[in-house]
Amino acid sequence: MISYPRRLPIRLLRVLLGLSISGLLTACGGGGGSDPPDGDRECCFVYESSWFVPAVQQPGPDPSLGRQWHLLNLGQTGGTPGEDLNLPWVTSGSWVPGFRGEEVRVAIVDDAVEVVHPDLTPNFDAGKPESYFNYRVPGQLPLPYYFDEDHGTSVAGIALARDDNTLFGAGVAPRASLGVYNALARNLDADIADALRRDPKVTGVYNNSWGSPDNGVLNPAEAGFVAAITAGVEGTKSVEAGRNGKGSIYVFPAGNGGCYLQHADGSCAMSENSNYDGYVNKRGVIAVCAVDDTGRAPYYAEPGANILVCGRSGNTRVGITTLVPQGAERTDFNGTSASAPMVSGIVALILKERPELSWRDVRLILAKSARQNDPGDPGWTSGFGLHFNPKYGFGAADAAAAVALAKTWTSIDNGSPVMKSCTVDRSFVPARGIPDDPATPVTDSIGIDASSCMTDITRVEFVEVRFRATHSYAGDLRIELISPAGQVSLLANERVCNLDNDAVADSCGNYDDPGLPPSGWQFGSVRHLEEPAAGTWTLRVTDAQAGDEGRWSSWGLTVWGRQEP
Amino acid sequence: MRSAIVTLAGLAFAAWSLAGEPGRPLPKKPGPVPADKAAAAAIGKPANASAGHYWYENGQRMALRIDPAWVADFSSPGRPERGRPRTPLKRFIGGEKALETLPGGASPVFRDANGAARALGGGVIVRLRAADLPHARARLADAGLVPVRPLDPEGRTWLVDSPPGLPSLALANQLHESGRFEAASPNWWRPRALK
Repeated sequence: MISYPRRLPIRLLRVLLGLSISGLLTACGGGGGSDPPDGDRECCFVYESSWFVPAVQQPGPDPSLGRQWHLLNLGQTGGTPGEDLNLPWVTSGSWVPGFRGEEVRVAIVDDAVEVVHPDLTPNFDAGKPESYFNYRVPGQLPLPYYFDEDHGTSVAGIALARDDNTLFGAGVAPRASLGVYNALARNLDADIADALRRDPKVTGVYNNSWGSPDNGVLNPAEAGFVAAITAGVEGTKSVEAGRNGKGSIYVFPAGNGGCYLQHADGSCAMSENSNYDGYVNKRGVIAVCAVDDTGRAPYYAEPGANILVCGRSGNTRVGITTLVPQGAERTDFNGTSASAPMVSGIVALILKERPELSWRDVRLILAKSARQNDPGDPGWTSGFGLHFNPKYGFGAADAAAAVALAKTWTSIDNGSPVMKSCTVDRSFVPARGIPDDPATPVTDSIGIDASSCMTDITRVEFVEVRFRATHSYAGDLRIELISPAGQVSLLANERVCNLDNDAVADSCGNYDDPGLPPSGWQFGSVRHLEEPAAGTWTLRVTDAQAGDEGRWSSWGLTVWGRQEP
Repeated sequence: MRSAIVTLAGLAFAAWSLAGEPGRPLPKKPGPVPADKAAAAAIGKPANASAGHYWYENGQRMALRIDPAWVADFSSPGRPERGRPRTPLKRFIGGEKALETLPGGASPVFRDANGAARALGGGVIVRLRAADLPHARARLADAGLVPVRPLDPEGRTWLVDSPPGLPSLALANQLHESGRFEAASPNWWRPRALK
C-alpha cells in the first residue's frame, strides 16, 4: 500500500515516457520542499506537485532487466555468462513470487533517495513514520536536493527497485520495503550515529554505501559510530539489540582505493587495504568487496582481512544499470557502493525466509554460501571448510545458495546476538625496535587457551588486533597476524600516501596517534572464521620500505566467537 | 561511486587526482630520518597543537590545530561542480586571526593529530550518566541545553543545539569539563566518501 501526504493530478506520465525530464531541472526550490539554503537557483533538483502522485504500475517485464548483468549474466556485456548474483528465480523479465524480499525492510543510509521515483514508490510507504528521516529538513521526504545527490537513489535501485512493472530494471529484493535516512546529506557525526540505530525493530538491514576517504591513510571511526554499531548488534543494558534482539545487520562497502597511486606507466603502485577504514573493520559490519562481469576484481577493489563477501560491480568496460533521480536510470554505476546493496538485497532474501536468524547467523550464511570466484587467483587459501582470499573475502555472494542454506540453518548459540570473547594484551618496556630491513621482521606471540580466557572459543567469528608503535613513517610497516592453524591475515602493507598531490609523500597515519585509544589502532579480521581460538597467535611486523625507523610498544588480541562442537 | 572515485572532501580528493596523471613519478617519503625518537614521533602531528584548541572524545582530550587555508561554510554549501564532491570547505585567505571571529554559520577547519580535516557543523553530542536516564530532558534543561533529538533508542545520547563554529567547540568542552555528563563532544563534520 502506498500513501503520500499529497495527492494531486497525474503529470508523471511524461516522465515515465522519458519526456521533458530536463524541463524539470530548470528551476530550484524543491528538494524535499525546502528553500535552497544558499539561494542558488541553478543548483538543485525540482519536484513539482505531480511527483507526489504514485506512479502507474502495470504488470509486465522490466525493459532494462536485460542490461542488469549482475542479476542474470548471459554474456550480454562481453563478460562471462553465469558471473552474476545467481538469482535463479529471475527469468526473462520476471521473478518467482516468494523470493523477492517481501516484508523485509532495507534502510538506505546515504545522501538522499528519490522515493518518488516510479520504480521505488511501490516499495516506499511515506505514511509510516519509520519509512524515512530527513536530517537536512526534518519532517520532509529525503529527496535529492543538489544535482550531485544521485548516489542514494542508485544504491536503493540496486537493492530494491520494483520488478514486474514495465519500468526500468529491478532490484535484488524487489518487493522489500524501503527506508531512507539521508545522514550523508550533511555528513555530521550525530546524523550518522542516529541513522544507524533508527527504527531498529523494523529494519532488516542497514545499507551504507559510504566510508572513509580511500587515500591509504589510517582513518579512524568516531566514537559515536562505534557505539552505535556495537549497540545495534548486541544491545545495551537498557535496550535490546536491533530486530527485537536478533541484532541489526550493517552492510558497508570494502572501499575503492585499490589503485590510489599509480606508477608512471599507469600501473597500480599502491593499493589501499580495507582495514585502514575504521568504519568497515568493525566486528558488527559486513564489509563487501566487488567482482565484475568476468568474476574478477576490478581495478579499484581493495583487499582486506575484514572483507566477508563480494557483490557485483562494474569495471572500466561496463557498469551497473540502476536508477537515478528525476525518474530516470543510468548504466554506469560503479564501485563498492554498487556491490554493497546487492549483498543487502541478498540479506533481505535470507530474512524473508528466516526472519528469526541472528546477525551472526546471517554473516555465517553469507560466508558459507559464497562461491569461489576467480579460482586461478593465487590469493586463495583454504581451511576449516572455507576458501578465503583477501581480494574476495569468502567469495562472490550467491543468492540462491544463501537462501537455500538459510532454509536449513540451525541458529548458532541459540540465536544469541552476543559473542563470547577472549582478550589478551601485551606491552613492551622498553619498546622493541623494528629494524629498517624488509628481511628482518619482528614477531611476538600470544597464547590462548580455555583457562586464560575463562571460555573455550572453538569457532572464531571475528578477530580484533590492537597495535601501537612509534614510527617516523608508519606507512613503512607491514603487519600480519598468523593464527594457530597458520592462516595469515594481512592487516597492513607498506605504502606511501599523498593527500596534497605534490612530490613529497604525506603521513599515512600513525599507530601512536593520540586520537586513538591507548591500545592503538584496531584492525579487524574475518579471515579466521570457524578456526578454534586455542593456540599461539603471532603478530609479524616488518619495516618493508627503506628509510625511517620505529619502535613497537604494544599489541593486543580479542578473539570473538562461540563454543560449539 | 560517481564517475570517478570521489570523496566528500576536496582535500582528500587530491589523493585520487594523482592517479589520473600516469606520467608523474610517485611521491618521495619525507626525509631525512629524524635524529631521535621524539622528532620521529612529531612527524605527521600538529605543528601548533599548543595553540589551545582541543576537544574530548571518549573522555580523552584531543589536540587540534586550525588549518588557515580553509573555512567550512555550513550556511552556504556552494554549487557542486560536475564530477567533484560537494563540500562545505572553501579556500580562505583571511589569515588565522580572522578564523577566530568568523560570521555565523561558518567554522574554522581543524586538523586532528592524524592530519584529517574536521569542522564544527553545529550542535553538541552529550552522553548522560546512566543514573540520569529517567530524567534525561530535565538534566539537559538544568544545564541550559536545548535538546534537538536523542541519538539512540535508550535516550542516553542526545544532540543539543548550538551554532556552527567555535561556539559549539566551547560549549562541548565546557559541558565535558563540568562533570555533569558522562561525555560531551562537538557534532563534527568529517570527510566521508560515497563509494
